[in-house]
Amino acid sequence: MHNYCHPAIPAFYPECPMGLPAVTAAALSLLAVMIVYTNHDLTSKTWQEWHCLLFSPHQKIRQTILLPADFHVDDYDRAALMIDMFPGGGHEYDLQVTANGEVVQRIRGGLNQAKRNSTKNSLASTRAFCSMVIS
Amino acid sequence: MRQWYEIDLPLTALDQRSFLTIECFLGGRGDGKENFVMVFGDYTTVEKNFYAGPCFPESDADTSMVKIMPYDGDYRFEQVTPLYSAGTNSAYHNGVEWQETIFQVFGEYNPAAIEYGSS
Repeated sequence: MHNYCHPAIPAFYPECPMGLPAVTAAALSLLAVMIVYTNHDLTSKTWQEWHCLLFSPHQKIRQTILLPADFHVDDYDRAALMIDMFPGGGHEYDLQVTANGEVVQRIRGGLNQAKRNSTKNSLASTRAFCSMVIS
Repeated sequence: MRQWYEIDLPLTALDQRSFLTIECFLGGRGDGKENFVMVFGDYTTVEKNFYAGPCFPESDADTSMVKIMPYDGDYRFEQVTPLYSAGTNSAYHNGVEWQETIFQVFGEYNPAAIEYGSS
């Protein structure tokens, strides 16, 4: 008869197939769980944030970013806005983003059609709602 | 899924200006049931010159295993990054007027950190 070690209930088995004592197997299982939940410390939200629900064409959110005095656009090859959003499941709306009054993005058919995150973790030049990343 | 959405910004928008005004709004049929967008923002620190909020994931290493398993819709790590901007000013238009302090704030409230428009 074989004794199989089930990680979730190691105490029911006196010995694992690899010869590990049940106490060791239990300790390893506990260690694995601790590694995962220690990870939670890194993910807990300690920051301050607001959220705003846009559901009508009459609503707008605006953010003015003051550029630093030593900012020279010629020093950069590209710029991107990173906007933290959660879309509904519908497709009957467009999302429009303007920069200094000029439309820079019009996402038709809902935000699920948009290009998602891919930007390198470089310089976030301002705090959200939109973070401008320049590189 | 809640996450960062990337929008290319023409460099001409930054040329010959000391500021950049971004506006975000819906067109079409928003209804608040299925057709809506929740926008999150203002991840500030007390010092104001640091960003402290969800990171821009570069790889799986920037996401959280424990948050993926139960799936709460946001699996990003927190990250602290120095800010380069001189300041920001955020506002919300409800269809009638602009407001600057209507946002519901979560986390540890710090009045100094929510003071918009500082430089």
